[in-house]
Amino acid sequence: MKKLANLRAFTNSVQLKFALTFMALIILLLAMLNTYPTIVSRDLVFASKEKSLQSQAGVMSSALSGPEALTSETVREVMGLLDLRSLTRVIVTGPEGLILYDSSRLDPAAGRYALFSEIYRALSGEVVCYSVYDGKAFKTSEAMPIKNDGVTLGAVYLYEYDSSQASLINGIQDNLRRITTLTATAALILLFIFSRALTLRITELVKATKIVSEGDYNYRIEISGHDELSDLGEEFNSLTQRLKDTEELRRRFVSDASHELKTPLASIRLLADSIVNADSMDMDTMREFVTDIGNEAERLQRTTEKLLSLSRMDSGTQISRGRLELKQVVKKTLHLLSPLAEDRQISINTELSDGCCILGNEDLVYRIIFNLAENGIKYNMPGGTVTIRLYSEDESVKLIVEDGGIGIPDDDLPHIFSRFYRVDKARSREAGGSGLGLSIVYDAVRLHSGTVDVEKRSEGGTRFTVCFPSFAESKEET
Amino acid sequence: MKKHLLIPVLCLALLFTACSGTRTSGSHHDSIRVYRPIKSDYQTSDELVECTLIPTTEGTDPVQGAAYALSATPEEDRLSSPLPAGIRIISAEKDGSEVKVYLSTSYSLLSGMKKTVLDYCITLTMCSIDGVDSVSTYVGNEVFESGMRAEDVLLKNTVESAQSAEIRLYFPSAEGKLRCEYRSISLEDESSPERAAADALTAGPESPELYPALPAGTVLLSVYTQDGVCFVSLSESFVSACEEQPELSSLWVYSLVNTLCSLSAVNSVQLLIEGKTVDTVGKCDISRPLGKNEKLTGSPVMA
Repeated sequence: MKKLANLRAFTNSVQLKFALTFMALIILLLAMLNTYPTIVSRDLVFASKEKSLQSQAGVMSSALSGPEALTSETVREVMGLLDLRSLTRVIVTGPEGLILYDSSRLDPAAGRYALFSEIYRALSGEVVCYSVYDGKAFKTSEAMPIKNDGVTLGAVYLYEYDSSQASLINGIQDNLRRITTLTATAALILLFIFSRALTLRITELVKATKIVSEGDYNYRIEISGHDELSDLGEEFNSLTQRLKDTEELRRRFVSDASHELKTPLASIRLLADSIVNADSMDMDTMREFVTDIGNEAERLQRTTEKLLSLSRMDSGTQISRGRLELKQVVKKTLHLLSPLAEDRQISINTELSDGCCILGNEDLVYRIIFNLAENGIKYNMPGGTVTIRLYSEDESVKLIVEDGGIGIPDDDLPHIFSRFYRVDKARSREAGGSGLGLSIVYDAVRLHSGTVDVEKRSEGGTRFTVCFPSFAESKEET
Repeated sequence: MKKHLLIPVLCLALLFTACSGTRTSGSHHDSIRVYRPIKSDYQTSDELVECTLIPTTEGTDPVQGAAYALSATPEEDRLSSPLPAGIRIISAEKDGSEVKVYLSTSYSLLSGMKKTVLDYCITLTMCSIDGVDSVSTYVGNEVFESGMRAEDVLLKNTVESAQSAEIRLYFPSAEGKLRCEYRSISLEDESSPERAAADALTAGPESPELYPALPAGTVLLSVYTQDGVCFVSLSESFVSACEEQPELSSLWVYSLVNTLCSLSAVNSVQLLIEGKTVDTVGKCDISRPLGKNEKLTGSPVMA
């Protein structure tokens, strides 16, 4: 339960990170959507208001401009000709700020003084415009001097209260807000769905990993989709399969090893018992039995030695290495094998080059050459040949061991380096093999950073090619 | 120069233009309002002059204090002195309800908006003192401007929209004068501006030093205007209230009359009791239409 809770926490955090990043982006975009268009449209209105009021003020100013000073009568006459309906208030003042005309219906201020900052500036010669948006309306004020021949006759002041433009903008803003809310909600929902789908698969993987690590190698993930996560799932499955196969191999090895050890021991037991339980046995039979016991003991010894060397190589103990002249090692090995070759009437041919040096462990290299050559002799017909070639090529040293013997079937070729693998069980048993010889060769070659390949010879028989990295001679000249 | 103002800036501007200092009941008596123009760098829409509350010290003549404050350089950076270079206030004295201000000779050469600003900064400042209703300016013994009143000036645009505008509501003051308050009324389609004004008036004053425009219990029965005469019908209780306090009857009558006459549609006001004409209420003759009474009018009460 605790593991599931942790799992949930993990998922949540990945999901959360994903969700937060995405939401942050959405929020940013929506914030911009909500502010920018409103600001732009408001600014557009400000600009248009200024333009409109300025042009209206201009018309009034030029209509009022004339050689004589302004009086309230003349101003009223002129203003009566103009269309002032769009303006909330129009004030015309003289040069000292006295209001000569006020369009206000309620409490017209004609006869009073207008201490407005706009009028003050207009009387100083400036054209002034202020525009404010307070959420309900656009309030714009404009003031312009009335001049004639450089003389300031007064100022005209316009004020407009526009709620319709404001309601337009409010409408836009409301719509944008609605769109924003909808988008945000939709985004949230979609986000939840997608991030969940994504993280569910991650959770799946995590769960599967935990199950497999606890020992259930049969568990496989269901592959859905075609993206990286599906690839991960497939890789996971193949990894788990390899784990299972390795486990299989290990079990088989242990069972085969114990079988290999048990069999000769059983034979020895049987033979010993037979001798002990026999009331009377003639010397010849006894000798035969004892010889058999010896043979079995020998087999047992050989198998145990091979197992030990395999296990040593497995444990990865550091092997001592030195400079080896392979030609010498081959010669030494073949010398040891000549009795066997003679016995089987197998002729050994060699083509050995000089100067093939590698950095290696003499015992292991000897073992490699011995096992390969021994196989070549054992799985051969009387009168057959075994050829051993040794030469340097580029940066490596190549050792070829081939025989014209019985050969290896195609089906078995990929498995021959596996431990305890025997092609023809009956034949190799008789020949005293344990199925470990080639495994030892393989592991030993690998330890020397080399490669070993096997192929069927077209003219019959088998060819083993071992490739070692050559040991570069240190230059003696300075 | 054009500026685009945002709401907070506008609010800030409004805040600045309102008078500084806390308003407690009776603060008007302890301080004078000094009006000074805002420097052009700090100017925004509407207000040209700004008032500062300056407390008066016990025992000193507020008129002298005002004159001194007007001449002094303002403490605030944003304000400048209303006196242009070379013009000084030589002296100021209170004569009844008028203050006479004597200025240096260069004042005679001043004209245009600068003169208007100076004149009315002095006027508004002096009229903020209790009992001062008007200001006259002199150079030597020659009078230049006389009878300048605070009401003669618009400090800002009073019309906000077609539905909302500021009007003057007249209320009785402690000194037995009518002083106006500037109040925004909303003009709904149904009621006429006169009705709206009368209703706002009966709602009472905002300033603590003013008294209600009408005696308690008086009901405005009807308000309608015809050919420039506004007929206002009041309930019977008005008559009895005026009988009880005859000295207030004129103030009550003229608070209505002055308020309504400040509207463009109204030239005079005919008061009726229960729809019928009456000769007098208390000490006041209401048999015929009445016009604005300037004698009773004092200086406005600024917010």
